Amino acid sequence: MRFTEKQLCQAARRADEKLLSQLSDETSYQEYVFSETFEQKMKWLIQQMRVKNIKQKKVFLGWQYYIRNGVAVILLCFFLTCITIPNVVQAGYYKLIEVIETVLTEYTRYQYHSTEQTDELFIPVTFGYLPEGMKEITYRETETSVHTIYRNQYQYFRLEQRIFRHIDGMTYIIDTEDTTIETVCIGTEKIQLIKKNGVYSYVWLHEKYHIKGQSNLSIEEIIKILETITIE
Amino acid sequence: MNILSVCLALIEDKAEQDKFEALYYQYRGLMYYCAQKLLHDEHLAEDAVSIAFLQVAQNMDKVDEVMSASTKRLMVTIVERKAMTLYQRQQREYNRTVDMDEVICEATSLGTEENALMDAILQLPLIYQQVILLKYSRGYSSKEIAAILDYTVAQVDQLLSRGRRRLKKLLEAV
Repeated sequence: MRFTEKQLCQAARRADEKLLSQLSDETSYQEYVFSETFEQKMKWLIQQMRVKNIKQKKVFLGWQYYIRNGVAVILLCFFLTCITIPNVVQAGYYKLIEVIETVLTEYTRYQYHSTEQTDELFIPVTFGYLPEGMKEITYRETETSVHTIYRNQYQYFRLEQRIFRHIDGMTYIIDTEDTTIETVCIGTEKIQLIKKNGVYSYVWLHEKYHIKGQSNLSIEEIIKILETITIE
Repeated sequence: MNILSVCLALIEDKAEQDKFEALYYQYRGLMYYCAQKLLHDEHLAEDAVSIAFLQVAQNMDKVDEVMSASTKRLMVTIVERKAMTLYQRQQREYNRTVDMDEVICEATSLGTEENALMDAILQLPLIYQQVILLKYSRGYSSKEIAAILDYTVAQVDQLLSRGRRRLKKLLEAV
């Protein structure tokens, strides 16, 4: 026979009433006189109680309770782990992408390829415009490249020109941390301008040449210099 | 009234002290009777009463009005629990094994199917009957029962679980 909680409550109340009714004759209980031994024992007990600072008794949960709850917590953690692992993996995946993006953003790698690879002679650039007071202070030329620096009192413009000849590509790593990158077009060609600490670095694939450099001139001045460059 | 003094020291509130004093005078005889019925020993019964009143003093917040039926049952329950503990201790001293599960309060024959559940509760060993009545008849929580009967909460939950299983077995035997 099965029983519900409600039935158990009803039956328990009736059982309680029945047990209570069996204790109805209270007059006989009062007749008992507690023994002298009992009274002396109580005196000793009183002294013990007075000496000790008796506090309200605390209820202990019991080791079974802690084990049961511990097991429940472990199972809950396991269950939650099972549920959340795909999300964790996904989150880790996104994190990995984020890290890669951060690395790529902070240390951007530019790889250049040129279809203009040739055995033609290297011809250095000629500047059509330079800001007032700019003078050449460095010029180094090889068979395949030139490196030159112009400067006035406060400003400078550095340029490095290299021809694609025996290489099929070029990798150029730029630290782009805390930088702003702008792309401007000269004709159909794009120039990357990376600004960091007030200094511009530029990268330009111009025909069969790879041109790069640095300057603390304004972007407008840099573009104006590059626009007026000729290779003849 | 020495025991009364000890217990009163535990009760700071004046109203509760009066209440405890009233409880003591009202129920000491009944409690002794209940303890004596289980122990069949005057001295042990007196010990059970004194320990029971200490337990009452530590649980005054769970006691209703002095003259209520629930209070009367509570006092009996507490003294029966203490009597059981003393009985068990005494049996150990005599190197006799005793299963307190088998201490049955009242032998009652199972009646009609309608009363079967109530009769099954009355047939339960006292150790289970007490927690089931405190829980289902008087609505105490496991924590309160643990405080009243001097168990741990886990023990109370275990006794409730076993008590329900015993009830099912008793009912299946009908």
